[in-house]
Parts: sequence; C-alpha cells; structure tokens
Amino acid sequence: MIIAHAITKSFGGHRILDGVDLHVHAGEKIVLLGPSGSGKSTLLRCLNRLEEIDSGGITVLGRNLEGSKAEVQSIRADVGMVFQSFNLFPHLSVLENVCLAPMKVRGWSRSDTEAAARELLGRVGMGHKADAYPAQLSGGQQQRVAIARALAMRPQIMLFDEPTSALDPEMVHEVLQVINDIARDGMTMVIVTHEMEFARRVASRVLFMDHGTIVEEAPPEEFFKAPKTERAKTFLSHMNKRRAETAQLRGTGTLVAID
Amino acid sequence: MKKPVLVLLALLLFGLFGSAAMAAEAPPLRWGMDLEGGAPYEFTDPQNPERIVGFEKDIVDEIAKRLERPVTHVQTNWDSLIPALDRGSFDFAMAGIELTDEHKQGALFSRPYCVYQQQMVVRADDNHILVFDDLKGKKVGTLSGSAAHRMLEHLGGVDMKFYSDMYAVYQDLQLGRLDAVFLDLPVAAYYAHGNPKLRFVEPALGEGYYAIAMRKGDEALKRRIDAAIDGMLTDGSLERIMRHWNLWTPAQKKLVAFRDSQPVDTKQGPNWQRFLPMLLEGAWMTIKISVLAMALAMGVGLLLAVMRIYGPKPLSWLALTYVEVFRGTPLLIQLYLIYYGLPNLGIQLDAFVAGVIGLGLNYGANEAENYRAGIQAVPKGQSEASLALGMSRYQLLRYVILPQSFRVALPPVTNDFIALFKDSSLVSVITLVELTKAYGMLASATYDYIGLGLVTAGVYLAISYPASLFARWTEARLRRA
Repeated sequence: MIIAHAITKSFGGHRILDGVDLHVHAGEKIVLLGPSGSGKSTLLRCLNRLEEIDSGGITVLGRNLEGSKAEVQSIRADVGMVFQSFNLFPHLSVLENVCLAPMKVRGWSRSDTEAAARELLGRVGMGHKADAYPAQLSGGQQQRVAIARALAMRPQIMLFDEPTSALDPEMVHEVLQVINDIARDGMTMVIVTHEMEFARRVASRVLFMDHGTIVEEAPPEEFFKAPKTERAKTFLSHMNKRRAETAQLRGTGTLVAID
Repeated sequence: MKKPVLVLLALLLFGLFGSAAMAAEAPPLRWGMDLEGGAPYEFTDPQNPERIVGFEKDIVDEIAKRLERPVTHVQTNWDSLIPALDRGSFDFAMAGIELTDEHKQGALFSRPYCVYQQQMVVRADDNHILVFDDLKGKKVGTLSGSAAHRMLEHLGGVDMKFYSDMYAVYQDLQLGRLDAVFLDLPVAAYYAHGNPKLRFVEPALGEGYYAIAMRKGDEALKRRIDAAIDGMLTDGSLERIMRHWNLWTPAQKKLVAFRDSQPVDTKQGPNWQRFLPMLLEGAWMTIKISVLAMALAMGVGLLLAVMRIYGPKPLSWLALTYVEVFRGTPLLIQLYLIYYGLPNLGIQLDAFVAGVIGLGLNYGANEAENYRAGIQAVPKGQSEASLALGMSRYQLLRYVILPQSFRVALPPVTNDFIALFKDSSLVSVITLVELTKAYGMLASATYDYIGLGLVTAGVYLAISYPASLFARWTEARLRRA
C-alpha cells in the first residue's frame, strides 16, 4: 500500500528524517512510537505530501506521490488523515463537514453522500449531532466527527497524527474506541500516538523512531516486553514512569481501557 | 495669453494699487471671493500663478484706490460666500453675486457694477435648441445657486447638472455629456467665445445686476463703495475695465440709472414641501452610489486579496501596487481623473458610472486589506485538512478559506461601508447631486444652514446607524464563534 524509500527531510538545517524506509501492507496497522522530535509526525505527513521530502521516493497505492497535482490529489482522496487538532470546518455543520469533500472531490450526489454520512456519524456515536456546529462539541466529539469526515471519502488507508494528544483525559477513551473499531474492520492504518496501551492492542507492527531514523521494528508484544535497543528501553521506561505518575494523580490503575 | 493688452493693464493697475497701499495707513479691506472656476471675474493668471487677474479684480483695485485702502483677498467656496461674510471672515464679497431679493435677505448690497445676462451655449452642430424652452428634457450644465439655475428651475423639466469648474462644463458640452450650458454671459464669453465647436444661442436672457455684498448694518462701508462705483461710472473707468474684458454691452448703461428698491424682508423658514423631496432625491442618489460602489469594492478587494496571497510574484506585486496607489492618493483626485481626465484618453464615462467606479476602485483597496487579514486569520490546519481530503487549491479557497475569512472580514467591511457612505458626498465634484450637495444647494439658497443641516445629518444617520448596529452584531457573533 505504501512504499517509502530512503526519504530525508530537513527543516532549517536540522535533519528531521534521515533515510527512512517504510513498507505498509494491506490491512496492516503500523504504530509509530518515539520521543518528541524523533520525526514520527513528519514521516506521517510526508505520506500524503503535506510535507515535501528532500530526497528519496514514496509510492502510495501504486501511484507516485511526486507526480502531477492531479495525481497527488487522487492519492490524498484515497488516504484519510486525522489530526491532533481535529481541524473541523467551523463554518459548516457536522453533516456538512462530513459531506463536503465526497461531494466536491468525488462528485458524489448529495442524497447518497448524506445518507452515507449519517450512517458514519452513527458509527462514531455522533448521529444525534449531525446539525450541530463544531464549536458546540467537546474535543472528543469533534475528533470523532473528524474521523467520520475522513472515512466518508472511503479511503483505503488512514493516517492518525496523535489523535488524542489534544483531548482531556476523560475523552481519550471514546476516540480510541472508535479508532479501534475501524482497525477491526480491516482498514490499513499508520498511527502516531503516545498511548502505549492502545498501541499494544491495535498495532500489527510497531516502528520505534529516534533522531529521524527507524531504530527498531517489531510486533507489539515483542517490542513492549523485550525491546532490543537501549534507546527503546529508555523510552519505554520513561513512558511507564509517566503513566504511573498520571495514574497516581488520578487515583486509578489504568490509563486507558480498551473494550 | 490671448489678450496681452489686458495683462499690461492689469500690471498697470497693480502698480497704482501698490502705491495706494503704501500711502494708506488704514487696515486692509478683506475681499471674499472664489478663484476656482472664477474666470473672468477673478482667477489665477495662467502666466503667473502668484497673481490674480479678472474684471472684478480690476474693479476692486479701482475701488481700493478711491477708498485709499489696501485690499487682501480671502478664498472661499462660492456657495459659502454669504454665510462666511456674515461670520466676519471678510468685509465684502464680490464674485458675480446677483442682486436678488433672496440674496438681499442675507447681506447688504452696494449699487450694481455690472449688468449680467444668461447665455445659452450648445454644440455648433446642434440645430434643435433654438429658444430657452427647448432646454426642457435636455441635459443642461449650470452653476448651482446662480440666476441661471433659478431660471432653469422655473422652466421645469430640465435635467440640470451642476459644475463648480467652468472649464469642465464647456468641455463636457463638447464631449456630448451635456446638451447645453446655461450660465452668466461673462463666463460664456471667456470660456466658450470663439470656440468653433460651440454656438451661442442668441439673444442672451434674464438680465440682472451684480453687486458687492457687505455685512448687514455696515452702512458706512456701503456709502463709500457706492460713491466709488458712482465715480467710476461717471468718469468712464468702469466702462474702460469692462471693455478690456470684452464685457461691455449696451445693457450696461442701465447701471447709471439704477435705483435700489427696498429689500423685502420676507425672511421665512424653508418651504419643506419643496425642499424635502430634493433632500430625499439626494439621499436616494447617495444610497444607490454607495451600495453599487461597495459591491464593486468587495469584488475588486476579493480579487486583489487572492492575487496578493496566492498569485505568482508579478500578480502579487501588481495587487500590492494597486492597494498602495489607491490608498495613498486622495479619492477626490481619483474622481477628477476618472471623470475629467479619462476622456482625453478616449474613455468617456457617465457621471454616475464614473462615481461608482471611482468610489469602488478606491474602497477596493481597503477591502483587499480586510480580506487579506481575514484569509490570514484562517488557521493552517484548515488548509491541511482540506488538502488531505484531496481538495484542489481552488476548492480549498472556495469552500473552506473564503467562507471563514468573510466572517472575519465582515465587521471591518461593514465599517468601511459606513465610511464609503459618507465619502460618497465627494461625487458632487463630478456633477452628481447627492445628499450633501442637495443640502449645500438648498442651504445656500435659503441661508438655513442649521435647520437643513440637522435634517440632512438626520437622513445620513438614519441610514448609517442601522449599518453600524449590523457591524456590532457581526462582531459580537464573531466573538462567540
């Protein structure tokens, strides 16, 4: 589905991606882990060309991401993306948010699109808010609408860029639940997240990044139980410590409960 | 200049005047006059911009000599001469002011120094306008508040256009914007006589007198000025001056026998049944111009803002230049250039169209900046989300960026509409009678500057206040979102 080869990317002389290779197969759920500034989000944003790469090459769904404008647009239409900050269109209602791109980009009819949109909104538990505006929704609700908006294009791949990082803790669960449901329906996904528990459950493969390269690559059970590299071990123990601290603060044992 | 003799004469008189001024210790008499479109009464010498010439200037110099007092001049808009005199801005006003009962209510008048007539001028190839009545239904240029204006109003059914620039009025006649010009004979003689493209329709009509206006109660000055004019009539110096300016007509002999009738003091408030319709017509013109100009400005502004932000370098630069040029130069000059300047390049616009275009292009520059701020206020995440959904740049702009930037730009755009609404009074310089011009004309005819002024201000407020409320409502709505 995605083949990225030796891609590099620099910002102002600082190298963010330093020769990354990535293969994503159909139905895989790739979780990108790593400390802040390791290049995970940049890598994800290169996969639909929201960021331009400096060198290397990316092929998505058999099409060249470095191709013509029209080709890039057609790839983006088939690759859904969910952002940390939701980015819903504030001037449109929930239903219009979901319907805009399918109607304008795909050229689908209003009636078909709206019917499909209402069904999707039902699936993410937002069917009752179809006529509300984004400003009237909580963060968790907005992110669920954003997921429905991406799914309405019937994408073949979904990219998630820290989808719960901007949420209040009590809303994280409802969003992860939705993502988990999509994963179970067989969607190919690339996810950047700091939710370790969620990563362990949803991932088919974990890629651990640091300083712009993929340092370690393993199935989740293996990665979380026995990380091979020192850097991954340090990262995981740091994350565990933070999780314990947060849990203590809230007086509960689990940070997230899936299912 | 075509009359070198006159220049010599003017120089001579200047010399005489200069020596008189030196001899006199008395404070100078202040002369209220209007140089704009003032030829041949008094105007800036085209050969020497520091000097004033004209037949009234020559007469004033002669009077000053006889009164043994120097004279200084005070430039004032013709429409405002009488009220400015009343306020004490100068001691006397002399600028082709007609001796009418209406004027006599506002000032004290000397004995007349000139008999004027009204001259119809048409294009040389026009054979339709032969007598005064033929002006009905025609576009006729004149000066507001003048005797010619009153005659046209009395005739009725004339499409009057008002000019303060007497050169422009005959130019517009040649261009076909007007069918005829009806103005005082001296003006016609100076600007149109000898022009092969124009024809004087004989005979001249509507005889009347020009006299010098002084403040009511200033009888001492009136006696001295009357005596001076009397002397000039007797010794032929007045006739000499008039002949030099090509203005001496047999009718001028009536000046000698002139006896003033007592002014009928019928001062009364304005006749509302007559004036209110004129004000409302002016208001309607103001609204039409403002709304159409704002629509144009919003379109131009949107185009400029998009060019500036998304266009390639040359287009972006072009948009920036447009904004700087139109914001950095006065609207008044832009209107002059569009209406009076463009015909030189073969582009001739109707006054209404020119007004809408002038205001619209000018405010377009402001709207461009409002939209630019609005577009830049849309967070980057909106573009990313749209592009990630496969939208083209056009779709992104059309469905996501612009609708949001309109919301941000709406309050400043509404405020600009109120500003444009008030600035629309400037289109009176290109002959349109909008609300402010209608007020000026009515007020100078009745001297009721306060009553009519309050009514006019009230009409403006009645339109701009709801717009202002709307602006505040949009601001509040924006803050909630």
